[in-house]
Amino acid sequence: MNKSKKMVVGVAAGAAVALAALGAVLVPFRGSAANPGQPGTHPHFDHTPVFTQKFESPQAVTLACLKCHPNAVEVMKTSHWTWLGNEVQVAGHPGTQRIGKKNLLNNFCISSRGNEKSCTKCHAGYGWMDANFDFSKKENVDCLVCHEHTGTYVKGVGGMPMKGTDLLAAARSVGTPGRDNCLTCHAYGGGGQAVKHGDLDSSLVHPASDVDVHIGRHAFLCVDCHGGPNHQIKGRAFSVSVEDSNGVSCESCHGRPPHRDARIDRHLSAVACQTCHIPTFARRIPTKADWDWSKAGDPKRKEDPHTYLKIKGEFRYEEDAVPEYRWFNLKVDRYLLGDKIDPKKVTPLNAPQGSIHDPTAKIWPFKIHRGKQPYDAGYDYLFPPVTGGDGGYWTTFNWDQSFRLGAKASNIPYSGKYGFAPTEMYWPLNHMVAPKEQALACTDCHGESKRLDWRALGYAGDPMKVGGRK
Amino acid sequence: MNTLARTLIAVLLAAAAVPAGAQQAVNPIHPLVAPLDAVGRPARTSAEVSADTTCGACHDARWIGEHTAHGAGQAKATCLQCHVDGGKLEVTPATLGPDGRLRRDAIRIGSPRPANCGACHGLVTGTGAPVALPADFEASPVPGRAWTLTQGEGAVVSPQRVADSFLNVAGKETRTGPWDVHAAKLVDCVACHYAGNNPGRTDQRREELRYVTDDPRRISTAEFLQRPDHRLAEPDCRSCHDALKTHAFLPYRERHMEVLACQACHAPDPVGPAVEMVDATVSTQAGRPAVVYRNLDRAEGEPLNAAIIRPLQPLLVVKTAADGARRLTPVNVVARWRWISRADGQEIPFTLVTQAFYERGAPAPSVLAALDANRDGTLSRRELRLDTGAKVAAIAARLRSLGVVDPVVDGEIEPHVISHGIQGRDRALKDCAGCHAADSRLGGDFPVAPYVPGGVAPRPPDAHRIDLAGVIGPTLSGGLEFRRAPDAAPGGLHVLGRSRQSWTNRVGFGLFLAVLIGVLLHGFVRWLLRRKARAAIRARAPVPLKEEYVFGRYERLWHWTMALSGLVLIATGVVVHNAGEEWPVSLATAVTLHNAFAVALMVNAFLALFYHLVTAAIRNFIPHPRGLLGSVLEHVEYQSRGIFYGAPHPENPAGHKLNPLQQLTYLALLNVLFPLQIVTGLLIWAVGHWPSVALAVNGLQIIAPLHNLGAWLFLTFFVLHVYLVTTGREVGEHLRSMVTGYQTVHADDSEPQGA
Repeated sequence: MNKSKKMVVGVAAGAAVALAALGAVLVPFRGSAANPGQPGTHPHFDHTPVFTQKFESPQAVTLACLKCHPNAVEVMKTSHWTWLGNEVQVAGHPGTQRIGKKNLLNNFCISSRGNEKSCTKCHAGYGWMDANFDFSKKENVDCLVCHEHTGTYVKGVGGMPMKGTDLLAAARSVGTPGRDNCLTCHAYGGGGQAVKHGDLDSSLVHPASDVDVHIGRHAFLCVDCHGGPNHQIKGRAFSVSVEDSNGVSCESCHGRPPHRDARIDRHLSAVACQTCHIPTFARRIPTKADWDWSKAGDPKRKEDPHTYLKIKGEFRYEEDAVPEYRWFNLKVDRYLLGDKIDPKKVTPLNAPQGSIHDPTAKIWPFKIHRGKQPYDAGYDYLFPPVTGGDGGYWTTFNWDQSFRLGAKASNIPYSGKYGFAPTEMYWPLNHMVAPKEQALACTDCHGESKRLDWRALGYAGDPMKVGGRK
Repeated sequence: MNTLARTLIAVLLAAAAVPAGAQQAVNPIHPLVAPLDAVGRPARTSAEVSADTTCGACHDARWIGEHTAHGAGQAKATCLQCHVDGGKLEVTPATLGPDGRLRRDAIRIGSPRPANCGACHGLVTGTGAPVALPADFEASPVPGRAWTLTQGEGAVVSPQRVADSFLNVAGKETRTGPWDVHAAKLVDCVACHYAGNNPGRTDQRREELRYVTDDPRRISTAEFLQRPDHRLAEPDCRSCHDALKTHAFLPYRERHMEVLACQACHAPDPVGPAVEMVDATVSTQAGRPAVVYRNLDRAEGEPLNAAIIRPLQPLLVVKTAADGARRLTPVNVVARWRWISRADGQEIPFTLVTQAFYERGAPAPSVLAALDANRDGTLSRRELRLDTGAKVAAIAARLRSLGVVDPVVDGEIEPHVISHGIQGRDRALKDCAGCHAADSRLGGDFPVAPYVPGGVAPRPPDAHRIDLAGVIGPTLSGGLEFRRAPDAAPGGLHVLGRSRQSWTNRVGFGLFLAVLIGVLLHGFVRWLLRRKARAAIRARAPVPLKEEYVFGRYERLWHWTMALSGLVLIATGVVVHNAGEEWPVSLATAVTLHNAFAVALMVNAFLALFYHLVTAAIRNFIPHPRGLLGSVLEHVEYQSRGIFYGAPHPENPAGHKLNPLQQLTYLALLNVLFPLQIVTGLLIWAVGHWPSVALAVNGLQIIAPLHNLGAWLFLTFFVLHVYLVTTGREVGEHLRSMVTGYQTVHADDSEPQGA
């Protein structure tokens, strides 16, 4: 090495040492910019050249998908296909059973049994028209509803795509499920926009950041949180689940304690993140709060999808609604077909478990959907009448007949007497997380606020004054 | 949106802004009382109820009246005004029981709620309707109803987010925090302003207790309820907060706490409508004084709620706290002019002033004659000012005719300490340059009044613990303003980055400039004569050269460490000194870096000293006394002449690496400049941590300029040093030797010639 080279090396080394020293001093002053992956960006292989021929049937598309993605048949093990969960112990019921959309009652459209034709519009499959549907035929899986991106793919009776759907274009457009794919079903459950979930509606396809900070400000896709291998999508809806295995939580991404104020952190043992960070739900689009089936069938009343429909009865909708708060330990009781009720009392279909004495329970925000729904007045149990199915209430407006059809479809005795009983469904809120500037602050719950009913929650008074639970 | 629509909306909003909210809870233990009138008979309506007799039946109303600031002078609050919603007991057949006593559910009596205080003090709201200014915000002054909280301090006390309010606060979309962080955290008015002898509270007495931390003696609750001391507490932030436990980010934490009131940072820019001047020498047709707001952009006739409120930058003045501490505290200054009667010095009731101006709803003819400049028969805002002697005389004559004895205009300045509308950490002033810069909020002129009613100079506040410390002078447009020196801070504080002792800067900069020019000239001449010098060197007999290892590994290491820390110190020092400018690092970072590298430099210097002592290399730095003068002259001669013509470098004294000029320079550097910078630097640092040190050395006024001068000397040395590095056999020769350790020397000569 000649002298000048040596000198250059020396100067360079000196400069490097100097820079390193400067860097070492500077680094602690920089916040670490941890990059939590990039939600919302999922590059995908372009399938346009893969498919060249017109598809004769949607099943042909599925078979084409399976040629390259043989493992995708795993969808058939998931509840998107089976509409049933795994074997599970339901509180107050012996043994274990598989429950799901297929066999549970709710206080919206009540039951899918006997009404498959219209309900299975949202089944990830083709041709589920009645109880005889064959769940073993892999070609009947609907890949497109979740993966296509033309925005023209609409499912109709029995889950078949509407006539005239361009299947080739849909197949060529496939990719990672977008928000519109998920929301095409999850925002329209219960027979319409925003009926069921108070925190999921079509405003979340492209929300403003004050509607949902994850999607609106950070461009999350649903699958960024609700991902999972083998099509086993993470996340639980307590309308059809009774426990939270394979669930998603805020803490899945957000470390603890996430606040800069010890006082706020002390809330975490008793308050779910959602409680403060979802100050209201149904931010932009009203959600159904109350559904009275007993008023259905009146031909004289004026129809309005938000107040009255002859086939469904009377409704009340809420927009930008303040949640109700309950203790919740991520388990719910579940009303199962045949359980006795007291028709004079409100029957909760999925009451959240937990109380102030349950250390695993936290105060959660809920949308509580209240209903008055058909029951068998002789046997005193809630009843799944046939509504949308053949000869059901929606065409005949004859409750007795739809009860008789329902008895057959669900294999449950009908006494011949029917009535309407009050019920409640609990929907813990998880979406429409507001930006932090809009999170609840002290005065929203403490002091003169009426948002939380402390005594109903089991406190002696405002815990700011009487102290929290021990 | 056009003005009309804005106006309309603002009016509607003001109407809607009447606080709904929750009401005073039913008091479950307060006895069922019979409402009495002033003479002790049962009262049948709310208006008849007398608090003195009704409440006084059990509470010692007279004693309370003697122990309150709310019951004397202009303010005369009754028990009910503060302890009952709306200030009055509901007395109707429905609220009265069969025995003439109020029913339990009408006993809504308790601690004052914020709305009770807000009724007189300013805009105080709960969580209900969004914040808006009430319709009577500008109503004629009622005795006792001062609105000082909002009009004086510019504070709005509300838990709501500023961004959600109806007020047109400039940039409000970014203000997502609450109007007042205490209100937001349910610290209501009485949480701080509690009755002085409340047995649950002792913090007011803590100052008096020297050898116990708490006085466990209490009056009983019964005694307290009978005679609650209504001289309400006015605690300091420090009564509840231990600020030293937070503020970890803040350099010189102790120092900041010593000289700053908490509000200086935590109420940096109030956004309530604050008043600049109240001119009660005139009356508008609506019977109100002329009011000039300090931070309001408002078109003539526009409602307050439609005007744009700019953040108010308070005046920072020195306030002496109850414990004697003098701290920079933000205030708003309200100048107030009114008519007084010279006979008794009492203010003339404002209704009389209104009568002086208007007769039967129109301006009086003599008033019009004096004030109506454009003769249109009305008095515009601009015309409604007593800015000449004639106008004053006209109104004085009118007042005399109304029976006022010897009316004169009187003006005073009221400083309002900003203590409400406190912001949490997210909106607190964290920008160091907010104070530590030449154009910071510590200086600048502060308007006092846009005009001077009656030409009467306002009296500065007397008997206040507030030192306004500025000169009030006239503005070009005929108003008044506070003038503050551009490079000083209130209270004689030395504020890094702001305060300037200009002579050190001038001396230092002069020296630096002289040396810079000197070396540039020297270099330029060398460059001009480069051929001549090279020829002269070539003309001499070629000297055998050899490579010699002259700078050991450790010598080079300490040199470059010293160079690096010196450079960083100078760079960060420049940032600290001129904190107001745009720099790539923040002031806080610069201070931390400066301190860190100062430590590095000191450790390095100490180790190097140790090395030089134990290896005897120190002798390189010690000049040989014998022949020193001659040798110095020889080197001076070489540098000023020989070097240009390629003369040979004079020999260093045997065994010395450094020439005598270098030795003298380094002697000064190491024995004078280093200690000077280390000692002054340490003192500046210590001032931030132990304020007593600051007192001992007369604050920073002396040591900071010395440090500054030292920095200039260092910079000067640095320039000289770098230039002399280029004077080797070749331009890069010396630099190379300090990097590699090797230098080209005469084969018969082991002495390097260096910088």
